[in-house]
Amino acid sequence: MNVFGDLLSGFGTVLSPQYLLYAAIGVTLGTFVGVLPGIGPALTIALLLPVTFSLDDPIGTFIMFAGIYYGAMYGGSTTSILLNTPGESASVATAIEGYQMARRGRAKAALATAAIGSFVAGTISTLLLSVLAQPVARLATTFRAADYFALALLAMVAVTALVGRSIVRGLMSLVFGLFLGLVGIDALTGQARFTFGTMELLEGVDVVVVIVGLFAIGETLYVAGRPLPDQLEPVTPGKSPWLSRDDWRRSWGPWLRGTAVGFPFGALPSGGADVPTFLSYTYEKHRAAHRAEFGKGAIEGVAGPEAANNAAFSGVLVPLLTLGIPTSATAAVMLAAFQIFNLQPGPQLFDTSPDLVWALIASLYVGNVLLLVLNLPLIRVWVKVLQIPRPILYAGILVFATLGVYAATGSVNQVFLAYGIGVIGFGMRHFDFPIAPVILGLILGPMMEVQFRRALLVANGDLTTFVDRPLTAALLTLAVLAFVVPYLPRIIARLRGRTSDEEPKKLVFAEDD
Amino acid sequence: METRLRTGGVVLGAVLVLAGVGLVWSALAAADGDLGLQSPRLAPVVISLAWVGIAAAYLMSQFRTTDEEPAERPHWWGPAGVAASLAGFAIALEYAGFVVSAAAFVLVVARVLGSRNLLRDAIVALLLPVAIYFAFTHLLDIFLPAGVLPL
Amino acid sequence: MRKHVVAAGLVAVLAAGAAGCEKDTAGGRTGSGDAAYPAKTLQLMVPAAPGGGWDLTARTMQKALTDGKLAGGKAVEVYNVTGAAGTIGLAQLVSKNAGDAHHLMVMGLVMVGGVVANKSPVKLDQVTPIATLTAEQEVVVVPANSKYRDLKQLLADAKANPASISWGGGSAGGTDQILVGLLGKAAGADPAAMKYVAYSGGGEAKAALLSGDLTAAVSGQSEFKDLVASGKVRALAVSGATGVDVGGGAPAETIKEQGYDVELMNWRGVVAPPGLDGAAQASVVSFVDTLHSSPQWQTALQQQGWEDFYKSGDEAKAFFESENQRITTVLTEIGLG
Repeated sequence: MNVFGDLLSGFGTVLSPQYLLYAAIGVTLGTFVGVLPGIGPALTIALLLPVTFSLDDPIGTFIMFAGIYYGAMYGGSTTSILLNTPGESASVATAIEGYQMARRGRAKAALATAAIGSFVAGTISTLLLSVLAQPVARLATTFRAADYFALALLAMVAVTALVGRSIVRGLMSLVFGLFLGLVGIDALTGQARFTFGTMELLEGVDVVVVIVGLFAIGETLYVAGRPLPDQLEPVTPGKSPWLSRDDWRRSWGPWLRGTAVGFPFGALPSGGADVPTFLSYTYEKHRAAHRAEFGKGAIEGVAGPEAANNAAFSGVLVPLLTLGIPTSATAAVMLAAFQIFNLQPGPQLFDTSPDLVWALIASLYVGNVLLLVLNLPLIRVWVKVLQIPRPILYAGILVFATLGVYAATGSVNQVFLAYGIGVIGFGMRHFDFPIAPVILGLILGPMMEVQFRRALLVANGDLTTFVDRPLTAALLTLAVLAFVVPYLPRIIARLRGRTSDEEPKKLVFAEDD
Repeated sequence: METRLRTGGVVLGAVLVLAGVGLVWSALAAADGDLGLQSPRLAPVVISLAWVGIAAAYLMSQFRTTDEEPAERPHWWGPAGVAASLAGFAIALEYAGFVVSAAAFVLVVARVLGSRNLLRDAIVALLLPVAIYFAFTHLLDIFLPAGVLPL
Repeated sequence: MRKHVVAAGLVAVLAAGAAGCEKDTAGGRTGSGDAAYPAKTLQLMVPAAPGGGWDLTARTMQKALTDGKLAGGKAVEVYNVTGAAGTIGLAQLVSKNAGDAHHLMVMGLVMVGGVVANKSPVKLDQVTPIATLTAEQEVVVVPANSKYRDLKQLLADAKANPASISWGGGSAGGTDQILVGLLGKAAGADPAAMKYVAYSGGGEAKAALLSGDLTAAVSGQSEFKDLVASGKVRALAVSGATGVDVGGGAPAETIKEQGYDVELMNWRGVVAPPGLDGAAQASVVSFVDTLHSSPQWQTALQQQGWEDFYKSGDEAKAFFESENQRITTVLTEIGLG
């Protein structure tokens, strides 16, 4: 094993002024697009692909792409925290506690724990990628459709066992998300479902459109009905450090646990970055000492998902580099970029183009450091966004939201769809329905359904396919346990005649409690 | 106030139940009896039935609760005004072009949201769309409608 | 505040753009073409999301046109209309852009299938055919430990016991499933009985082949290159007229060479909106002819590994018609029509 020798030579390549510049461009550009709702890293990289034709420098290109991804993820969490307008599914979990922190004048701490958490998770998971890529990839490709179904079920149960203060409202949100997930062409048979005879709905309801609608637009409509001061919450005055001693103490656990969830999930060929963020959030909430603080800005709820989100990217690179299997939209576009350079990611890539692979991995370390170095000082600037006069700020959010949907889909009808979902988001806020379960249903629902039917199709309809392999059976058992266990204390309490302790009523936006 | 909110809840619950019934009907009609485990028609039926059940439970709960007392009374014209401005923006987008429609939208929606500083709004309404337009079309290569302006 | 970010972004893109432009060598205007076309900005619609095959085709065209200065100083704009195998973009081209010769759309075999499978109210014969540009072959692969050594054994089993073979590939009604249907038919089996498992992309199908869910996978020719080269999967056949190397180091056998009369190319081309008169159509065709013969386009073909599959004008029209007929037939037989 000369992993470290290879890695060292990778650093030798990357640490040239030219490549550092590419990395810096990537991180800056990524942060810029990440701030815009709807325009994520995948779209940016796709649009930059033609530029790479003529750049003729694969190493530089990929260094820039890695920077874009990290930057975009961080940019997305910035707006989630400050304005409750996540741009894609992986930053929805961050918005839940992050926005509450910002409302209470703790925006700096939230941004700092996100930045440092991303750095910690990125660094650890890149290390895991350097050392464990091959065995993890071998493990990941043993997952079959039945296992994915069991895994999706487990994730669903794990994150929705805590739908919250009002189970009925939480479930209603979830079912709405599941319904949205069904709209469009069935992935297995190509049959249209819930399209009501329109062409426009055939493609389904894009998760980005839903997120922009429910958050950016729904939030603005909600705010428009309330006489608020000209500016949002005042920020705690300037001199305080990014994170207090207590914040550090409460953050490092979630960072590490978030990494532990994010990396393996990213590595699964049907994993992705969004599910682990929700898992991390739920887990932190479940075990936190400050549980009562959840819903009002608990720092653990920002630290965990942000770490998971970043760790997932290194995870995503495992199947991409070792098998040529893209597991996220960004990875799919990066695969296209590899092919432009006549490189075929797969088992031989590490042998045929070691320079490139190790430079890419080294650039991940560099990108992480750059992100931290560029963004920690910028936090001071970012929080000033909150001082923009409210009418201008929200007008800007609406313009960017519209722009994002229009640019990503090229259709005014999709813009109207986002607006319509925005009106629903407004209604959900008005009637105190939680928003996050909609996104969960939309992501996990189709995964469960398609994998379930796929597994049955492969097994010719034989239901024993869900129990005859130890992996599937174990995952399903875990799902059942996860379903029952969280309710035990509540059931016992109910039996003892105790009423549930009602929290004081407050303005609830995206709160998942 | 208390009663108003509850009335709202009851109406919402009723609407949700009705919508759910509509979905069940449409799902069953599409299924045409084909509800095997592998059928693409099973999940819509299951989900819409769950929708009806949960919506009914919500409707019931609205007859019982008396707890909530909203902190402030929201006004309806703010959201309605924003929604109307948005609709206008989207309709104008492909005809008037991005720059013109976005500028008008910023001006109007800032008013709706309570801005009284016309000069400031006008400056933002001018600079923001132009900056976005050039950044997107010329640098990111993302197409935006030019519309009436000779851009 | 936002302006700082915008400015930073601008600088970044500028830097990237500059790096990109420096290397281009300006080629003179090649070919004759029609001097009057394009008379204004040329809009190129991609009826799919950025990053896919059609998007890459359009952006490569844009780049070749700009680098080769073939558009007579007019700008070439690319925009994406996503959805439903391109049928949403098709509907938009017909309803919104009729009669506009400066509005072209990239399309291909997948759209032919999409119109049938999605029961699109707008058909391909409503638009003005211009040209086909590129094509890729399909490849049939099995895992290395599979008992199948050639296509004959695989298809024999598929005919005898269709439920025993799980075929996998891209989305339902797409090129991959069309090929499976054609293969089943050629082997004398019922195309509707072929057990086809659809995945959202080549990556997922790849993982499913390795995990053991699939018996065989069908995909674009380059998709499995590295897995074939490393011996993890075995290529049984390619779908073109002559064999290509799909990773094994030598050209793989074609389906025809193994005795089945099936040839399928995943081609991509360009169409114009309906309502163009003969002269307008001719000037668009000659413009695309110019693009095709430009050194910039030929270089791009090589770089992308695309097969040159050029048919324009009447030849393209006839080809679209015959493909439409063939694809409609097989999709109907599969049960997706």
